[in-house]
Amino acid sequence: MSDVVEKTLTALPGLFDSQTGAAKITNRLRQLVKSITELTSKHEEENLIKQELCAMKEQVSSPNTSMKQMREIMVRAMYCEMLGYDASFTYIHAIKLAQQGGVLEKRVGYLAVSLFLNEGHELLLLLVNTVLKDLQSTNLIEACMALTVVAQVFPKDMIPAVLPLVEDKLSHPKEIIRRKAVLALYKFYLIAPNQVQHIHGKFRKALSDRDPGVMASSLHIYLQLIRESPDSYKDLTGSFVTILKQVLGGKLPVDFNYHSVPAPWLQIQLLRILSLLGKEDQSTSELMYEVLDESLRRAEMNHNITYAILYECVKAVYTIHPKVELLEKAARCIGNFVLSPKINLKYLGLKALTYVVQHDAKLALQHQMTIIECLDHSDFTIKRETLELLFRITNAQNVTVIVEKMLDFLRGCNDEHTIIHLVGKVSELAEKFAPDNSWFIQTMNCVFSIGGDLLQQDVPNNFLRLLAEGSESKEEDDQLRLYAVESYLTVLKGHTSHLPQCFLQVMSWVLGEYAHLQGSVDRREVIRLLTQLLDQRSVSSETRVWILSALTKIPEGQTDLILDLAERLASSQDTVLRQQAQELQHLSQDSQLHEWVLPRGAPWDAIEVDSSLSFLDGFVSEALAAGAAPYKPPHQRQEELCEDRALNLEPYSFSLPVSLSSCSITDRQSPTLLSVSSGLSGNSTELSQKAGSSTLILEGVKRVWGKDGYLPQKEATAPLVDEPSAAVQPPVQQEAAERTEPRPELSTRNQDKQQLASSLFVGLGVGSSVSLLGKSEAPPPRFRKKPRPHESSSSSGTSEKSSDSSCRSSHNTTDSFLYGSFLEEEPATSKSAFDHTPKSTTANGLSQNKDTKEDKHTNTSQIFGGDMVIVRPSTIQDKHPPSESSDLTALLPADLKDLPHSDVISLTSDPSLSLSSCRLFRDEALLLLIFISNCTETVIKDIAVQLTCEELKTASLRGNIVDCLEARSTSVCHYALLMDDPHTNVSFTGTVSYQTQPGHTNTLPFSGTLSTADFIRPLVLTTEEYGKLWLSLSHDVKQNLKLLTDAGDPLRTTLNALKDALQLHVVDIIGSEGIVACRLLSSAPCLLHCRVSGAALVMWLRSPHPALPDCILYHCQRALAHR
Amino acid sequence: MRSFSLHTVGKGSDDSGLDQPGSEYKFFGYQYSFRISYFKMMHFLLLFSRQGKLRLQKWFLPLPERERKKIVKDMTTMVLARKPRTCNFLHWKDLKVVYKRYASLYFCCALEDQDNELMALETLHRYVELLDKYFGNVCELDIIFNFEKAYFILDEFLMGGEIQETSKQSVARSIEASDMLQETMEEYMSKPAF
Repeated sequence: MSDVVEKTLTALPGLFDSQTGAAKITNRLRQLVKSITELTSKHEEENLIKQELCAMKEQVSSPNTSMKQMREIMVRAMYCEMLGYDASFTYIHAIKLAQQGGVLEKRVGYLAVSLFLNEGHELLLLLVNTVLKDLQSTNLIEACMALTVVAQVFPKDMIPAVLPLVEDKLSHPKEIIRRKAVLALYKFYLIAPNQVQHIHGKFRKALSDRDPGVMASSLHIYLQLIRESPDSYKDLTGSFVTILKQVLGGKLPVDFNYHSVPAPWLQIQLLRILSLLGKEDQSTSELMYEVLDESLRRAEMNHNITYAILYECVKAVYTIHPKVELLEKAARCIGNFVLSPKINLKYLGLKALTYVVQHDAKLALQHQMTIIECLDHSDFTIKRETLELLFRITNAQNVTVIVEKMLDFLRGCNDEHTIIHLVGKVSELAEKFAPDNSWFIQTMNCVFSIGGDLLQQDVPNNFLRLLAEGSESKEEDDQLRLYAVESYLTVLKGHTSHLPQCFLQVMSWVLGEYAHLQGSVDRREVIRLLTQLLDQRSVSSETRVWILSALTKIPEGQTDLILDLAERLASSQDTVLRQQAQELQHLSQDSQLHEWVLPRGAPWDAIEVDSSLSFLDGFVSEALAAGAAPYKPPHQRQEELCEDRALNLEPYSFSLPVSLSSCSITDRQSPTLLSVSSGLSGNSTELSQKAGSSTLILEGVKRVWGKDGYLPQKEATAPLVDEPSAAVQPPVQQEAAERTEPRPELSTRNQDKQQLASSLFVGLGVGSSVSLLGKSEAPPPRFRKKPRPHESSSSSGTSEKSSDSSCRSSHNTTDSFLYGSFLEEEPATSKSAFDHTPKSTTANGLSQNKDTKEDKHTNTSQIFGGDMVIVRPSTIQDKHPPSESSDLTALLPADLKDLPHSDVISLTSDPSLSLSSCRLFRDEALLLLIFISNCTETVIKDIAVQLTCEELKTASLRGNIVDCLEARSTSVCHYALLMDDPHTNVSFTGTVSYQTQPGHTNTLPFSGTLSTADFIRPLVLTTEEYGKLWLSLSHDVKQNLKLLTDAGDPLRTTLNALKDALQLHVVDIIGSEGIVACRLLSSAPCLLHCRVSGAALVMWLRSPHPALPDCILYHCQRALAHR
Repeated sequence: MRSFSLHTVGKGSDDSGLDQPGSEYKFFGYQYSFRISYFKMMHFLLLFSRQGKLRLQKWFLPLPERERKKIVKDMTTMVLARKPRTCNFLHWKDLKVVYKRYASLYFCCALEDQDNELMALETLHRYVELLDKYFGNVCELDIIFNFEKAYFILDEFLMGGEIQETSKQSVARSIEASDMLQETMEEYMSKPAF
């Protein structure tokens, strides 16, 4: 068979050249191509193509043009488009060709469609019928073409039309069709995961397909699925391992070989899947050690593709639960990469190292000389990749050298994206590891002048916040500020015209705030320097505003200078500037007012910002009474405009009440708030607002800025010293030096390199060996940034003290309500410390909670007494506490016993501790209880739990610090989780650190997943209320679901099933329609309208939150599919 | 230029090799799906000549015409400016570009940062092998004059940016099947009708 194919294939090109029909067809194209290549100028080409397009336009509109000619025209049109000319008049004909032509024309038509029409092009709608017809065709080639085009261009909303047919193709007798169908479904899954939810079972069939091609295609889907929820597919680990074994053993047909490596792409895919499955899971990892070992062993051939496999293998070995032998082998493999003379391999080696050093920093030491060489490599790509690696191994000792290298690179780089990327990293390193003030400020100066206006806004923001918030010690803060002021004055005295705007803004802010710290410098000098900037043409008007507000802050005494300036600017074109100038004028004349508006040296939190602008309420109500229209935020105005324009096809909405109800909604959301953020009334308010709100929450955070972190200068300047003094260097460096010794000649260049090496890799070996399991905790940052305040709190400046109601504007009532409800569980004060069910209600929920956490070391005794429930089983019978889940539920605190809760799930365990979790559903939050059981016969001390989840707001309620846990007892740790934005599935991760022996800390990582369903609560309302609410909601989604038909009343059964699974509230059922309501915790509601239509349930969801309907729909589908 | 929405600058320890799904995935500001698809193999594949003339373009993500033209221009200038004996990989925005020159033609594709560049290089090579097998000692002219065939072969080889068929035989077989049909139909159609 294959011989025949071979022969025909070799004969084919000959066929084209001879005078067959095909050749004739391409003749016109040939002519076109030839004449284009003969042309000399772009202008001539344009003319020629224009002519050609005109001719084509005439031809396509002529009724005499045959399909065959049309096909030829289409090929030419594709060519013109590729050259960059517009041939959009042929698009519709491409669709026609795909529709009406024979197989040949169809093929070209489909190709043209896939090249011309983007996903989402409106003409695609015209293709649906053609595709449907071809999918049902018995002609294999037609079906193939249809599947291909479906996978290429079909947008989300057109998928339901073809989905059933594509699904059917999964059981087609021909493997090529099955394969294409699987890939089409993969594409559907990527763009609309909800819609293929029900086919997951069939994917399993595809995975066990007898054709290796189909099986390999299904791995794409599995890789995605497993990435999203690895836990649901652990059972497949065995199958993936077996498949990989078979592939390695050469069990696949020979034609899957690529340069005599068996199915390399398949191997890589499998390795990726395995690494995801084995991540943080010891028992699963154990299943794959053998096959990974074999994989490492097999890939010894010297070909690119084997290295590609090796790379994946190494990554997998370092991702899964570690095994020493494998790690050693993998480390050796990396050596092969890095030391290879082939530059591509070197590149991949660096990339692998970058990945691996996060787990084991020592590996970088072994290859330090190579890394140094790569740093000076002539190839830009290699250099950049090396910097990436260096970034990962930066610590407090080598930071100066590494940052210097990065800045050097940046100075020679002109690619915007690279600059932004690297400058961000430099500023991060500087903040984390800065050895002293001057270095930090100098480095940030470089960052600002190199990064310039490309910088992400948060780099200057963070920097200013760091300066403003300060630390415990005022003295040190002032030193840093003083240094900044000095350095900026020097900069401003030099050439300033080339400085980026963002740098100027930073400087003017700092000078405005802290110039007074510098006693020796004349205020007039500062004012002169700043006004000088105002005169420069290159300074943008935004920067001018910054400068002016800085000038406003520099205090009285210099009225003459200021007044001059204010007068000059009072006639400026720019309204904002003019306003600022006015303010400046008034303030400088009235020192009392100045003192009151801009108090010098006042702490940030003393400034209260009335972000709801309540003082304007009188004015607003007056205006409303006088007949003014209520304020509408811009997005709503936009929406209304759209509504007016678009045809309204929905049967539900009446035109009248819509605008009314939507008005009322926005009223609730405090329109004034929006006007604050959009107003351009200078930056000082915004800044102080930001700073003010953050300081509050973070009181008590200590900054590591002490003398102990200060570094001896000699290490930093090591490359300049003639000979590295062995006495000063840590042993690791000595080792490194020894390793490099055998090199035949120590030329001066080499010596330089070694010195560089010793300064770069300093501090890497120390303590890095323990970090394998714990994923090497980042060292404490030099400048510890205070955690960001909540979005909601930043707007209202939640200060502990500002309990006045005006601050809690209507905007964040929901939030405060939410937090308020935690109060019952607050570990509270020492008074109630020995109460087993603390129920004291304190005033400020979260903020105090945080305080408690931060002060944990000082008052652990309280926590021990109050928040932990020590349970000691009377008799020790069971050796495995985690299995006794029923017993664990008994540990639920009395006040929580009545809440609905999930089963207890085991999270993870190690020889000494085992963790399990239980979810409790409260109305306003999800409570996550983590049971920590001591499985040993000894006492475990200092247990600390840390839980993180990116998508959720988490708050630890009690028990996350346990002083000591008796043998065979269990402690409970409470977390409250809030979901603001719906996600279909969220995962949480965390670590437990504990000490079995004093001074020996172990960490145990754990992770788990939660679904939106955990956060959905029933919303109880009447049918009338439902009707009103329905009209006021804007985001809707409609989809057909499966109807459970096994009972007498399908609608009722289905709704009840959904109710059970998702805690929905069934409002009413009338005939074939039902209405259901729920909400996301106690915030966004979601209304569901269900109608029986034939064998399907038409579900229509509405919610004020754009993503919520999708999420709920997803879970509904799941719930019904699992019945 | 400003219309590109650049991804946020890496936050160091956060962007480790394997990331958590869940955040929104955006490519040049176009929301593609509400999840991240990390190992999405290719974003696009371009073939261009030494003079920078585009010979074939395949986009695996929907992008408007203007962005495409900009990308093609970027790619040709960047790749053609590479000096000899440098590696076959490039950083471009937050993607990696993998390219290889075959005679007068450059093959060039873009992938996610976490993907395996070496594998992509071999994927390009596989495609060249397939072209070679079909055209017999393929050269740039074959692709210029029969570019639609090159597209057909590509469609059999890659689908949605992922490898569809790694077996050379099967790709060849399916191309040949439709081609044979093409030829016979051609003959049949061109027969004089009596």
